[in-house]
Amino acid sequence: MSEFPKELLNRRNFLKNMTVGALAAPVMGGCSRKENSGEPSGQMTMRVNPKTGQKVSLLGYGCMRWPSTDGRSAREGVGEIDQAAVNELVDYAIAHGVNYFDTSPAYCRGKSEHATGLALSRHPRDKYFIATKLSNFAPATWSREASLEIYRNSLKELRVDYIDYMLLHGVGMGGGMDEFKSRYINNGMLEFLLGEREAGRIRNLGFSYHGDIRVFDYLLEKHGLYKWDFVQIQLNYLDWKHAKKINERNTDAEYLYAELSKRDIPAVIMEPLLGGRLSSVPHTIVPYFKRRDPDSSIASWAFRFAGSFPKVLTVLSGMVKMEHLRDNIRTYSPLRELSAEEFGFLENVAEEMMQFNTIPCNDCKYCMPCPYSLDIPAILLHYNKCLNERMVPDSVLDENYKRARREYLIGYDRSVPKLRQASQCTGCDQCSPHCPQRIDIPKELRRIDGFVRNLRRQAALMGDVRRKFDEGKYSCVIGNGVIRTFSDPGVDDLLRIYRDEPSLLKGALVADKVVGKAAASILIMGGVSEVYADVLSRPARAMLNRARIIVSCKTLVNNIKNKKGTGLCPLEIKCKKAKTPEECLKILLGMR
Amino acid sequence: MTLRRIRIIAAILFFCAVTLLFLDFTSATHAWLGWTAKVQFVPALLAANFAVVAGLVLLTLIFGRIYCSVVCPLGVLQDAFSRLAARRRRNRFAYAKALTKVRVLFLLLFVLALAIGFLSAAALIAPYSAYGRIASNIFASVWAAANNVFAFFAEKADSYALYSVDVYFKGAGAFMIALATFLIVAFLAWRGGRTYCNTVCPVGTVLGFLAGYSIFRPFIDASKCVSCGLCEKNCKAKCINAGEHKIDYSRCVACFDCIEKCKKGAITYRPFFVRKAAEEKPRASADAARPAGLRNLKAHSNGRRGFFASAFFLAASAVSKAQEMKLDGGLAPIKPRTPAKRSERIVPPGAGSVANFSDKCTACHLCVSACKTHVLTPSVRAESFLQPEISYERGYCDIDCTECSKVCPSGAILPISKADKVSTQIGRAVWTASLCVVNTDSIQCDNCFRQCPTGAIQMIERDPKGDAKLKIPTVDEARCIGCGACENLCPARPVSAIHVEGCSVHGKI
Repeated sequence: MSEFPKELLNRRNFLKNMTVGALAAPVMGGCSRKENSGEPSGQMTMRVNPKTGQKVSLLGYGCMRWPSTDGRSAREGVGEIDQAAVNELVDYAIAHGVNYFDTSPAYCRGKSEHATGLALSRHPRDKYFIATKLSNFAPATWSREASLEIYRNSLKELRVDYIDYMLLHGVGMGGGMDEFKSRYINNGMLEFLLGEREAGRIRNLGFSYHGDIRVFDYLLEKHGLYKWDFVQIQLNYLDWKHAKKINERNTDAEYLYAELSKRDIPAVIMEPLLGGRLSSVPHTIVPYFKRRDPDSSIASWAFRFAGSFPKVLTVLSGMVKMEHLRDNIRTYSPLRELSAEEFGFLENVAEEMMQFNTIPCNDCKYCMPCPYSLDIPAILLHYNKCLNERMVPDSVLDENYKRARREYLIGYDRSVPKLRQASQCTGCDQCSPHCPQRIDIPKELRRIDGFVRNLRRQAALMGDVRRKFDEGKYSCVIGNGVIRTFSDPGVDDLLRIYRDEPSLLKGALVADKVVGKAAASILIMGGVSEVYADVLSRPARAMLNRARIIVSCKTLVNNIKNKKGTGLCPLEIKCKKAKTPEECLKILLGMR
Repeated sequence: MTLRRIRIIAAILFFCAVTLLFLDFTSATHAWLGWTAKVQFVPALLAANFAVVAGLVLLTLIFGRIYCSVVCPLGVLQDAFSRLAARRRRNRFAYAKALTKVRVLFLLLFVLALAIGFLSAAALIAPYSAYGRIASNIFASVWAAANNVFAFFAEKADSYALYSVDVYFKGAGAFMIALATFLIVAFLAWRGGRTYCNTVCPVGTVLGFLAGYSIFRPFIDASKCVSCGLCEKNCKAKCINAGEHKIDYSRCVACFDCIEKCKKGAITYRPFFVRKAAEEKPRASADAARPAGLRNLKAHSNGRRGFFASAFFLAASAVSKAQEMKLDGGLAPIKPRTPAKRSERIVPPGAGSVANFSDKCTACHLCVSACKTHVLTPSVRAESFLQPEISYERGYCDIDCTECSKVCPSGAILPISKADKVSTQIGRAVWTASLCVVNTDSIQCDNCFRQCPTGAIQMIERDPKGDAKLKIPTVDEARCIGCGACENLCPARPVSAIHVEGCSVHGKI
């Protein structure tokens, strides 16, 4: 499977629409966009670098995902970079005004700089800006000599005698402040780079930031000393306000941008698409975009978002295919800035997408190769893809549900060979320190493995549980090796089990008559893996979704009524304010 | 509809049903068609399924060797080849004398093999298990490969209707035997029709003996017969002596071809006591030998198996050191795994004991085909050659799956409930310190602990006195059921650091 299956699919559909548009064009006269006649050249929105006065294209080319000869991205291990395709992409980009190319000695298994240099060297040196990084991640390269070697090699591979934009790569990753100091301060590399800037071999010096906010704050504090010419941050409409919710250790882009803006430092934007997650959005969210603008791709919204901030110098996109490049050129030729209303719309979309709670993997593959042969990004992305697609609104009835299960399992085997699946994870945790999104990879892999194992078991087991439940005699049926039935109304049974027999809930399959926030929080805290409810409240569903528990129901309601139907259920009232399952459970346990 | 038509339709249905049992990797048909394997003669005999055996005996005593022409898949397979040959050369058969001595010899050898419990040898010529191995080792692979081709297109079309399955070599020995059987049977059928059934097949010999006394038989009415010899030339059993108007009923497989071939209506299929006026009495002249005293076929275990105790594991520690990562991307190669050396083989839950399995299994490989996680493979051990045993290179025994016990026709694997299965100990895990990645790579791996469905593995400090950072697995033998999840998912290569030793007698936990 190629690296952004969903994205490609969307793009494919998009292209299909394009073809239809093109066919219809002669009939419709001038009202159709001239998609096939190429993108406008000379209309690319340019931003001015305040220091040099040079004009930089708003679309920057990320050289992390060059295509390879076997049709996949060159980071995936087998094929070599397809230089002919790279040349074609670069030529096309330059012809349409793109002049910023961002690479690194680490990208594409270390081969990106060479390929990028080769393609660019065919153009006049003043037609493009090169950004590269000092990617001394491995402790073995923390020494001054090794780091210098990396720097010198970059000049050689890129076939240039000066670098336009030089970055300290991924400060804040891994060991945070200590690691930063080992990589750039203790070995004097930062001093060296400052000297190179003086000498003109580096035209602009900046850093790219991921992870530990203290490093970011520290470096900006020292702005007076270092005079950063630019800083590269992750910015998109999900990370704008939700980065911290996605991962507590991350920082909202709103804060990062404000800090740079305050100091008049130009921002280079990475991950405008969150590794494709903002071009392959959940199924139910697609119509929101298409209703507003049926002609524009979903990705274009994310690019308009990132480009609409005035202090943004350029927005990087790792474009593997020509259609990605063309779509992005269209979006920025010229940029239609977001209106305040559209900005609000994207914030609402972000709010809604947060409900899906996908794993924040951007498929950057920094974690790879896993020494135990796992394909980590493929596992995480398949999970995300299924989360996005399964969660159709309202009731997830039986048929759908079975289909989803089957599709997950078959798709899993298709996307990831058995010997590279999550079940092989040793938990050695060599991957996590490399993750710019700071995902706890072993934890996620183990959760997915548990999820997959449950799916495999559930096909048989959930059927048994549902059959028992459908006899109609019980308020609640729990299957976990054995099948147990309960008949008391309310959540008393669940609370008792939670307190006295926690092992019964761990990984269990539960069918219950009514699940509101109260029952949902007990089930979540008990660690169940799948829930079916005759009646399910929306807040409860959101809670279960967030805990990544599979949930299905017959009827979905806004809230649970009391027995007479005259008002809210007393438990709902009690738990109304509680936001997390922990808080809910505390209230429930306090009642007794 | 003529008798022959009915016979052909029934045979095709039966043949397809049995074959489907072997081909169906989804197990969807096992519940519906499982009986077609259970009515096979040798498996029913071994399973002590006397109702079926009695039924088959009765069937033969009434109608002749219907079993051979309809129920037995190997017989039907031969008919298929014989039919192909008939297209090239019509009227190609001629009456031949019965090779009684050879038949009896093969039968005696078969009974002897059963009696001493050397089922691997007996299984070589037993018709159903010979066919089973052909279906499982050859047909099923072709079927799965074809499925994968369609699954490939399904994937391209974003359809989940089909999924691809592993096509793999189940074992060189078993494959060669299956292929050899297939070629020999096909060759014999091409040349001489039912030669295998009337010379080698022990079931054919036994049923042939019974058929000599059957009620319904084909008779040649000498008054109508013009001695054209069409019946004889088209008898694939070569048992019609047209010149003498005689039929050797021990070899007749009740295919009814002769009845249809006869243009004069001289051959009728009827009870022997319904006589017609001008008719010879054929029974007295039947010249077939009647092998007697073959009824006592029941096998007895005498525990003759030698247990070759050899509990050593390759001490090759080949797991590479965790590499230092500098560049992003790329996939580490998947290192091959070699099977663990087990001192006792592992047989599926429901078998009860290795001895029982060994004495009942006809090596038809239906369980091998039915096994979804591909843990059942033909044994290469001398004492159990061809009989399936469990190995965990491709997967592990799924605790919710009891497919093998559902399909086994011979009672080698008795039906077992899921609840019983999860508490049946078929083996126990053994940990090898020198292979474990905690020791070889100095990383904290606890995959076996996490994957164990019964909680039999715990993690304990490796150096209780030193810094207790690294933990190693330890197995609680009393709780281990031998499912092999730990062995299959162990990261150590080429040999897993934790492997399962079979239990010669299954226990309960």
